[in-house]
Amino acid sequence: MGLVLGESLRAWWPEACLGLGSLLAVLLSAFVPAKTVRAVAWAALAASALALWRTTAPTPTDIFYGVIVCDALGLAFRWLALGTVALVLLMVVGAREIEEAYRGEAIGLLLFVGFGLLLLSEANHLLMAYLALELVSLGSYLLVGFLPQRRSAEAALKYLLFGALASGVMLFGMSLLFGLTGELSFPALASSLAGIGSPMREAALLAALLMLVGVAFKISMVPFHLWTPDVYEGAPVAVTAFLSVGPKVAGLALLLRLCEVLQPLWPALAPMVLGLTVLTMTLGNLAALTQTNVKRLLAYSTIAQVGYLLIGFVVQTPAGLQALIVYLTAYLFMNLGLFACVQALVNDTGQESLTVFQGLYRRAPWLALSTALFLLSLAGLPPLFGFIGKFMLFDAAIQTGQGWLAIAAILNSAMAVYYYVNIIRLMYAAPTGATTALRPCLGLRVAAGVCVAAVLGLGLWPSPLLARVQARLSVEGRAYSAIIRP
Amino acid sequence: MAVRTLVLLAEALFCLGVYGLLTRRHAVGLLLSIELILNAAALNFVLFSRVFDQVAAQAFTLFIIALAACEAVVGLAIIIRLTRTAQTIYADEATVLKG
Repeated sequence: MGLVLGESLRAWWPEACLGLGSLLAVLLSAFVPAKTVRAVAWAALAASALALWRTTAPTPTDIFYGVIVCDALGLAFRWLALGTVALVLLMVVGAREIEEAYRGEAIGLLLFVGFGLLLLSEANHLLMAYLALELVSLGSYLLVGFLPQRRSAEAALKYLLFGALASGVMLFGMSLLFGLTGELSFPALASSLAGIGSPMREAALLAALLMLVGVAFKISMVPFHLWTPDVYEGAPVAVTAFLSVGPKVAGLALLLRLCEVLQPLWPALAPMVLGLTVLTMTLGNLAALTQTNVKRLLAYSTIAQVGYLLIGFVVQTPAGLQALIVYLTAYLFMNLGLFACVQALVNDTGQESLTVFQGLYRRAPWLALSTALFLLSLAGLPPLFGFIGKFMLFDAAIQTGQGWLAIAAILNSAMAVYYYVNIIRLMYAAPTGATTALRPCLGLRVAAGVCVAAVLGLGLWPSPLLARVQARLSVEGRAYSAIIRP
Repeated sequence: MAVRTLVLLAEALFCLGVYGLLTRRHAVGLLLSIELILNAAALNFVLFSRVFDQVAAQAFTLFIIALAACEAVVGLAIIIRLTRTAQTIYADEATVLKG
């Protein structure tokens, strides 16, 4: 037994570093100023990233008695989760709206949620999946309520109620699935479901649907997206940025693994998920057209982007999986970069309506230029990174003969160009409001700079990244057979 | 026989919880409804762990109980924050965010 634990811990250093760091940060935040907590957080993140770098070529192994699996998919998602946490940490430190007295706590909670994201992307057992999901959720509920204003408390309550309902429904689905199969770990569940007979099959389908509700809520997939705009509007900008990327990354990882488990039921689920994918992007884009609050607009834009991402999932091919990971990487950089720019604006003006963008070009030319880059990348214009991800996604849809899916997505992208370009028009063409120069703080400049470099660099030279993703994740035959071995 | 009764009990608890969550106005009542949902799932796990003779599911139940407590703590913290800033404990009066 000691041997198993020792072996497992050796493969688990990234999580251990981040978990211990988050505990230390929360503990310290009660006694020391936020600056010290920040140093601890960076140390924990750096240690975690170093450990992750060293485990760079995992042969798929089950650790902790099969509760957690270390494989190529988990590795990719863990890198994405760590990147999100690092960029959001820069923004939390630079956020003027979070009171200095509570900043240490916010940093500690952020690390906790990051720990949850890492666990969620490698969960291989119903219990682990549930625990990790709750770890992410509970931390996020608290982070949403960090502002002193009433809207923040309301947003936190709304998020808590919707989230608790979704995870409760998911948990009930898990208990039914366990009741039908008698298994808890994903590989055992998969093989047990493969041989399931007719009356039990329908019951398993119901359980699967209940479980998918929880994940759909996390990635704000229609019709479980209703909380998204309200919560995003009430939360601090940095937390909104986190919510728009972090839970989506880990939720998609869990969705991929669950789908592998539910493969025998997939033929019955596929048409519904396909329809919801198209609905998600369409509703997100339509609602975004009329928004006047920048955070609400980005909330609907997030919903639409999740719709594009889901294409990579519903096509169920290795090409789709690769496209999903590439676009998720692009989405991480362009969305977090955009939020860093919004954070700089909110720090300066204290407002969140779209009018704050007016004449930004005069006040901060570099900020305006990088905002424009991120917006164009989100819209999917070449030669930016977003274009490459989108192209791969649509290509994956066409390859499987679902050309109509690609056409729906392209029409949606065209619609999205309107509201993205509208912000650019405000920045460059609209008459100026204030005229004083705007200079973002160092952390935000670093965050935006990293994202600009990634969006431009990976857009112009994508081949190293694509080759890496392809080498790791391409598998012959079944779509995701690398994820779970019977 | 006993299994069927207990499954029905768990399902009734689940439905009660969802009904409560959709109809209650008082924030603490909403938290209680969430507890009902979690308990329904916990009951299922205990029951099926007896059926399949799987101890791991009973451990799952212990985790659910602990997490339910965490969720109540976080929920009460948020509710206290809401009563302080909005002077109300009714969830349907929390209407600043709309659109």
